Amino acid sequence: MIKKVFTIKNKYGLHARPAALLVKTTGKFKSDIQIAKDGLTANGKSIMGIMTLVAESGSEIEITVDGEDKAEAMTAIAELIENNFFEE
Amino acid sequence: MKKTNGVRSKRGQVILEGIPASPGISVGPCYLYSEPSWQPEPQVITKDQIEDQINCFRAAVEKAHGQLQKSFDQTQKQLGDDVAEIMQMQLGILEDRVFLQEVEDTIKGKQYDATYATYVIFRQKKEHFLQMSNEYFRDRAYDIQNLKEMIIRNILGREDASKISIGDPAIVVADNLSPTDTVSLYRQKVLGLTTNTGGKTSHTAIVARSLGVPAVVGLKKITEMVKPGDMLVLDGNHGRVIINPTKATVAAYKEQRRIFLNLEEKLLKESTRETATKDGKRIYLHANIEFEDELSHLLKVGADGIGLFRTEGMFLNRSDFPSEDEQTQVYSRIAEKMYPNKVVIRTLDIGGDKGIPGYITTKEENPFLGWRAIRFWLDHKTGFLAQLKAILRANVKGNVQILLPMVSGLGEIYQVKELIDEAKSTLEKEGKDFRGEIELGIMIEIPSVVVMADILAQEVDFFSIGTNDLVQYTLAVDRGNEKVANLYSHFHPAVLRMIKMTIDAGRAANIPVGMCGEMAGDPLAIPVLLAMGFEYLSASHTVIPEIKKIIRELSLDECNRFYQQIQDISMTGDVIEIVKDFFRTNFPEMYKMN
Repeated sequence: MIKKVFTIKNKYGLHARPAALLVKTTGKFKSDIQIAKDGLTANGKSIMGIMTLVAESGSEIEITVDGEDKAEAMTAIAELIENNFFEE
Repeated sequence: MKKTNGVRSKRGQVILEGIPASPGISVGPCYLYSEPSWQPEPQVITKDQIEDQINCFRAAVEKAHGQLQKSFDQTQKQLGDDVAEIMQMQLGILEDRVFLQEVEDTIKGKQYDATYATYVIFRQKKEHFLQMSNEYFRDRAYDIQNLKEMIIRNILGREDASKISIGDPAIVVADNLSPTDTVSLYRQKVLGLTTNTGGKTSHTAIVARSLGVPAVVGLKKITEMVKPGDMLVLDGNHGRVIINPTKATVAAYKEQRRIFLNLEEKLLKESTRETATKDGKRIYLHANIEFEDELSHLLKVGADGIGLFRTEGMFLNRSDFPSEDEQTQVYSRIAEKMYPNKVVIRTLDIGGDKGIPGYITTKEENPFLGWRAIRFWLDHKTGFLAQLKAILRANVKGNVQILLPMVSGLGEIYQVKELIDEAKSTLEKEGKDFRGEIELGIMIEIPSVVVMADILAQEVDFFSIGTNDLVQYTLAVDRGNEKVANLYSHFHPAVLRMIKMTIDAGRAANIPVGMCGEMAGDPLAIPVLLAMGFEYLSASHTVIPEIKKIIRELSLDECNRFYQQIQDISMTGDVIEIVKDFFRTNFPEMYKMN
């Protein structure tokens, strides 16, 4: 099981587009992926769950990945978040 | 203006207030689009029907996905990225196995039929989103409602095909518009959109702006108040809808619409022309803004600068403070675009009714008398310092000024001056580009600073009167409280005296006094303000053209004579009568609109 904390830096946080991109990525992996923010946890493969977290710009989220392809999954997620979901 | 709260008198016009979602004015017949909102009754099913109902739900979701995908494909080319983005999110929800499982579990566990299980789970999510404090996320509740209705329609085997068929140009009135609805709008003669639900960032609002038609949303019950074909006036600038307007109202709005439409061209010409009264007194019309993307409007209406840049917008909807660099970039871009015109940046005015999650969370007994604006900022020195540094850095060309909100006395001004000195010396050490000479002003919104204005004028470079709070604090009236809201008026003689005292104190000390509150944007108030001696007024860009027109048609001389009549009147109602009378006589056309 791996855990990593990220800060959401894109302008409007995990809004519609980034949330859609995030589940597109997490959906490719077999591992169980959980996202936690302020004591709430959402399934990382559920766009509804992610939107419910209201992860605004500047907020910290903790991602937990567990399963056979956990390392690859975390790398892919990290790439997406650290590049601000490829927004300007 | 007469307002009725949803009560429809037999012949009279009905005025509804909503959220302005897309600017412009339309006059036209109503196209009532009433898609019934399904409120199914719980249907309990037997154990052996469970599988059947789950399959039924899955098929309905799949069908909805296909329908949405089709709209999306059509939309992408025609509408901007903003609309496409929301539709992509909706598609994502229809692919969300984790979430859809909740509906299936409800069918299984509670033995509800597919329709009711869908209704229950989607409504739960919608309610959850409606509770969110972030406007953007909150508005997604309506997207969830759209999905719910699509799926239920599919389960019940109802048609989804384009149901909106307008024919002659009309204003569309609906509870909520779905993506399929809006796609069909692009091919029809839509004069404007109004909905019961929604906010500034809801699907309807975004689509209206992309179509370039006016829209008012969040009207709550308009679908119940109109009949197909009713005449409507839609004022997207002020968030107002008038049902069955009188002939005079229609004429006034048509005129306003003509002015609005001609405005761009006309005012682009006029914007190079200075605004002055008939007898040649130069008046500066500044704009109040909150977001950078409002700048394009300012150029169109020919604003003489920015009289109030509210920085709260940068601080809300996020959980940390924007960094010094981030703020510097925004302030610099604005200062650059407005150069050589002035940009007055107001330091963070948070608290009262505007909280910052994580910072102001404890409910105060009296938030408006509590820890807000400068009081809050002086307790968060690191944040305040970062903002002051960013303002100084944006002032490289010298057209930026600092404005402090909610100052109640001299002590706060001294504290801020120390902080500004600290900001300068830190910037120097850090070797960053900035200009140290900067004008510092205070908002006049607490009665104590009006009383002390002659003293404070010795310590600051300008005053800016914020009428909303000044009225609230002077009259001890919360205008959000409908039981006392009738006592709220900027024409109260005490308020007028407060304003006069301030401007006189400013004059005696030879510092400029401006006004950036709502009163500065009230056409009725302009003659009074000119007579009192105001040269700097700052208001929303939507009212600037109107205010400019009024100023150009008045002479200082007639304003003074008019002011003589009201300055000794001690009843608010009497003042308002005379003010209206003057306006009606001098601006009959505009009077009908206000």
